[in-house]
Amino acid sequence: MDSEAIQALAPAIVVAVAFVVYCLSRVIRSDMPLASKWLWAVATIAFIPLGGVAYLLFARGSSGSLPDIPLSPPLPRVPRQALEGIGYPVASRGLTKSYGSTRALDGIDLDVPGGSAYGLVGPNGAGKTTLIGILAGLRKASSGSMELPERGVAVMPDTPVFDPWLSAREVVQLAASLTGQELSAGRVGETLAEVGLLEAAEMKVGSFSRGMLQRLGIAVATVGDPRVLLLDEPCSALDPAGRKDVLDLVGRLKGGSTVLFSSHILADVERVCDRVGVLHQGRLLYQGSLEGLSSSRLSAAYRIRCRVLEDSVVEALQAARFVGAVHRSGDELRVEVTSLDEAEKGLVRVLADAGAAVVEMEPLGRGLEEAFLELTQTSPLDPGGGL
Amino acid sequence: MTLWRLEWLRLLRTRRWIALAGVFVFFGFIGPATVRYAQQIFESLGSSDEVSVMFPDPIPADGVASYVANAMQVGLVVLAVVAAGALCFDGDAAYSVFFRTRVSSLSRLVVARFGVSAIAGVLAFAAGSMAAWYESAVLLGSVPAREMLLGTFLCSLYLVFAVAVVAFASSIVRSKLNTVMLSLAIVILMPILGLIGRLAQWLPSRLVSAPEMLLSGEAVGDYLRPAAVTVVFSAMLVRLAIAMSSRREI
Repeated sequence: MDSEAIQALAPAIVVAVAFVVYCLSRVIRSDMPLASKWLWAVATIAFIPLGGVAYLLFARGSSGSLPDIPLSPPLPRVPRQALEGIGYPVASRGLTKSYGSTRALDGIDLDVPGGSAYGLVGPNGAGKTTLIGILAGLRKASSGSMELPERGVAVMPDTPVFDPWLSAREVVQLAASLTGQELSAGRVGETLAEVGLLEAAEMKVGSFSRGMLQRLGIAVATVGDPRVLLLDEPCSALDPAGRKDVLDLVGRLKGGSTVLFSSHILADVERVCDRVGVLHQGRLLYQGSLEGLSSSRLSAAYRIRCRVLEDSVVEALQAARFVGAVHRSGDELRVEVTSLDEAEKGLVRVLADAGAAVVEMEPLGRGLEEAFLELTQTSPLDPGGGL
Repeated sequence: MTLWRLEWLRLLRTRRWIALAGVFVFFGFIGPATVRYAQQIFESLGSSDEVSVMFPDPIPADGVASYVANAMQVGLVVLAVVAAGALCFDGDAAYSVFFRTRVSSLSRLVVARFGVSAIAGVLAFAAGSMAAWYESAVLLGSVPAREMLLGTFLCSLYLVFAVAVVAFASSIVRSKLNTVMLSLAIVILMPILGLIGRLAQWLPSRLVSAPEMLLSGEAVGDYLRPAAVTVVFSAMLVRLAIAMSSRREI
């Protein structure tokens, strides 16, 4: 080989060798299975430079395993000026969304009071995500109108997705920058501390668990103190401790912000929400207070405990025209009534006339879950009934 | 952390820049060498006593043409993949929500992603051109600087157009694979359109031949029309991509 060829080919060989060595070093350091490593290594050497290029563009599995870092509980959030009493910052009238002949949302009249935590509950496929998508401006309604603040509306999807090669700190900084703010390093740290991710601030998001992603999603949603927060299933991937932390955070956010969050876990809604909307098959079956949901759907029943329960007492109750059923368990009775009004006026008299030695008597309210199940399995209530 | 910085970080941290630069620089070195040693390579593959193939003496333009041919095939595919990785932000709805609910205008998002991908493509192509220039000068003879730089510039315009096509495609389809396929289909369609009458003189694909033809003595004025069309088409495609992405539901 002449000197001209050496002079020409030397840089090419150096570049090719450097490229192959670099790609091989990445293949070796990756956490993919050994067989995949061998395949990529062979491809990198056999097909210069395309094997290496393909590896750099398409290979996966080098994000590393999730480090075992303890997540601290969220720090208290500094309360903002309360928003109560400013009306309904989130409202809609006759909101409808159709996909072909299917109505995903059917005439939604939403009223979310300022500063409240509004729980949007419903089974999977009820239309919760579609409704939040429309409120967030990500989807267009087929008809109807809605009102939201022009600025300061933050949204968190079910499972937030961020660029995996960014750190948690960078994601928060990016969120702030996109909304036209610059956060100091201290404020970024505070934001992460509020969701218990301070220890993970410098970790790459690609190694986060789903629960950590949801915490980070809440952190970026709260950047800039938005007036309205739309959270789609914010606790769906969290363990009980994580769920408690996030719900506590949502609880602290309300007042300063108006929070609307969807969930199919009623206990979560019961825990932090002032108001609830029950969505089923695209229709808002109920909207109002949690107490209102339970009481409006009471099929009234009473628990009665007697010192000594005579059969004559049971027979007297069964004979009363406002009693639907009587269930006996030892000296205790569960009396289901067909009319709450008549029962309130007549039940005590029936017991007295039967000579019952009543030790304890109480009306039986029902949990949100029972009310929800009954609501979604029977004909719809008047949507305005709970207001 | 601006959107532009985010895109630079995407190139750097995902190592896509190495794939992009690697493929262009590699072909920049290999192209002229392949032309120079074509006869020897052919003979080493097994010659026949009955058939004798004689290659004409290569000139510098052949070395540059060999680089551009490879760069505009393999390099273009790699650039389309890299650009689609940045521009297909609607491929994952949850990812898209983060940006769409925060940026004041979607144009900020699209322009930053288009801009950084285009700049990366141009820089990678320019690095490959430098390698091809060096290699051609050493193996095939001196390469005029003015024509070489003009050719590289005109070819770079075509790469910017290709990235604009990817941006446009990403506003029609959502997945990265579909975006790359659609983009390449549009880019491949260009030379076919060029078969119609004198249309080829106006199409962006004409710019691909600029480095070789300028070195062979063609006037730069012959490339002003396709260059202008390329700039206008690129701007229109990006504008369309912004408009169509803005109307898209997530």
